[in-house]
Amino acid sequence: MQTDFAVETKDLTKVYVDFWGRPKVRAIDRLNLSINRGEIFGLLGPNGSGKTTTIKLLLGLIFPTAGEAVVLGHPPGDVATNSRIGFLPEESYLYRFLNAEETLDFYGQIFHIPRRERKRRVADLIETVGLSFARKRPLKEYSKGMSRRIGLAQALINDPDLILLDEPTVGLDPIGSREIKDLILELKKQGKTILLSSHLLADVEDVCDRIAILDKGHLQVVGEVDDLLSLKDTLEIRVRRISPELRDKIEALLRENDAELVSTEHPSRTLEDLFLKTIEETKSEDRSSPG
Amino acid sequence: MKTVAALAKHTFKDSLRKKTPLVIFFLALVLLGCLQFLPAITPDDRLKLVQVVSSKAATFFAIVVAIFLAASSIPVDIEDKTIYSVLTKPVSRLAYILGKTVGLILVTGTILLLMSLISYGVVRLVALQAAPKGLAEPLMAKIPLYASSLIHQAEGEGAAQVPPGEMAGLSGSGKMEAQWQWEGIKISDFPAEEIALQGRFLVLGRVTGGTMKFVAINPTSGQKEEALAKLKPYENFTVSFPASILAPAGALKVVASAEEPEIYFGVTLRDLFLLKKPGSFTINFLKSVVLIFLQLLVIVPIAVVGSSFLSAPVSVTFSFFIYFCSNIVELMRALAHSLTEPGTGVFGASIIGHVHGPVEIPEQTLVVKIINTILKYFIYAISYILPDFSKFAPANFLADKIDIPLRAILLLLAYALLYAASLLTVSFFIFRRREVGK
Repeated sequence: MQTDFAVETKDLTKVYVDFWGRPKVRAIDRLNLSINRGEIFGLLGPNGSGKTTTIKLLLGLIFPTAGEAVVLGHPPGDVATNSRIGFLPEESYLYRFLNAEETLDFYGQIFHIPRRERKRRVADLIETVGLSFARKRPLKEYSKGMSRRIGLAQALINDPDLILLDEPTVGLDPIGSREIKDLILELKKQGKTILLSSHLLADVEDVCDRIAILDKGHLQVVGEVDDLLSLKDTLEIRVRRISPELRDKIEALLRENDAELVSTEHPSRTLEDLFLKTIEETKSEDRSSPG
Repeated sequence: MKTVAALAKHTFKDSLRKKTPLVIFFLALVLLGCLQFLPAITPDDRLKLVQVVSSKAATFFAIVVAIFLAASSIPVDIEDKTIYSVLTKPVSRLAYILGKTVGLILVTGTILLLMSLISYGVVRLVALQAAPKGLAEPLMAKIPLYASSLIHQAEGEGAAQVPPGEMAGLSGSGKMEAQWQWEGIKISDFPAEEIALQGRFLVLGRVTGGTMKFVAINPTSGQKEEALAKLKPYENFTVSFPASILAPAGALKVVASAEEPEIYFGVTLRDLFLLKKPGSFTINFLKSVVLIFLQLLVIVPIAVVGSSFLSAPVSVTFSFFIYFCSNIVELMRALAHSLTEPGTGVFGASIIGHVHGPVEIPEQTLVVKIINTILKYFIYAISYILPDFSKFAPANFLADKIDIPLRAILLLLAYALLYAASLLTVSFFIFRRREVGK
């Protein structure tokens, strides 16, 4: 499959089977996605919708039942491609007995980063994710938020082109969450492609260029965040310096086109509305269709 | 290669920080410390006991650490999901398996080395304590020189060559003798004043043993020297002859015959050997550590194969089972053989049968025969697939103070490497398509 996209999937399907090989769960069903280079793409969905399964398929940790995926021009799990990928798992599953520096140093070694360069990069990353105060503490003593930060740091150790973040802000306080989002935007400025999955809608709305909503393994909606959230049949007019008199006359003035029009734009519904509506729709479809 | 090194280093570090190896290491230390207080009749027995127990204990604990760490390595990585952050980096699944294996071999090797250092100290200490009480043999490594042929002769039956590995009987009543022949002996290998022969024969008929007459013959000059030795079951004996018995051409014959009619001895080619000038105990001890290390070289990949498709507890059990079976392959083969040859028995029962007269053996039915035949070849197949760990056991060499031949170590090294390589290949093919996340 030739592609210019950073990530592309074609009818990607994953069916989990039980011990006897009988199908148990259809986690992903004929998923078609394309993620442009340099964009922040959000994968949304309730728990169990297939977000993490999709990411694991893209990383070659698990293998598709049908369909295919292309990541940076190669099949998932390709060793050479992996050197250009950064991955933050859903929870930061790292070696509990190592401290922050040792952890990053180990991952740096895997990328064959020379010792001096590695040392510099490890120090920079610990600084960037705000863990300088705990650089020598073993990870088993880390709080959830600290684990997220070290997880993010290890995902960035190789200065990757494509970054996959599974629930990047989960377990972080609002300030920590803001810092991570700023970091994500900063990474985009450096030209990196970012795929993030989340069920925290505000995160996605704040940083993503495009989103896809998954439910029960099906792709429900995909598109640009602004497009998806705008209500095109409604026009919102914002008026500045409006006095009571002016307000009385507003309809007349509007009709006469006399008032100073400060801005006109499509008002947005929140992503939350869209999300809930989409999930609601699938539910009613399920109820109406038998079986 | 760099990736494998990085993973190995990391596995090493991570394993040592877990508690398992430390706990086992301290258990081993306590045991080694207790060796000092082992009761024994003679100082020589005590030294022997300490050597055997410390060598077996070091092997056992190293194997236990190896199995626990290696059998759980991949399942724990998958369970903790730490594998996600490794396999999503430029690490092939082969490099992952190799890195784990090399790291684990290094960890267990280090633990083995530490335990060996301590047991070396204990052995030296015990030898030092025993020396004033009259130690017949100090710490050393005897270098045996085996005969090139063994000829068995019985009155009325003539002479017959005994093939290596086979046993010939010697009984005083039958006027039988066994003749060992050496060729190409270098006189400089032996002490100037006297040459010693050592051996251990199978002694049947009387628990206190019996007397054996040895006659050494110089084939060139015809010079003869005679010596008597008291042989006890399961014990080594030594006989000495003046060094002048050695022919300059390097040939020697030794004829053994039983002195008493009611005793029966079983002898093989390698049951009697000449002792060269002894080698260093320290070097022999080091060789014994190398042999134990070779066991780790095989057991770690076995456990890694298990861990590439089983859960941690199942894989630990599987590895222990394999290790247990690998220590008794000879017994398995004997058992398999006896299945279709009733009466041959295990543990040389046929010899006992011979001594006590024929035993009545009931005929097997057809069904039993078929089942036994299938079982026989099944056990045979397994016994040949399994590595033979008894070949890697150094304890008896140490106990008998016999030098471990370098050639044997090299052969076993090649064997272990080949075995490890095949196991890792199997492990890779299993793990290649394994899904590591749910």
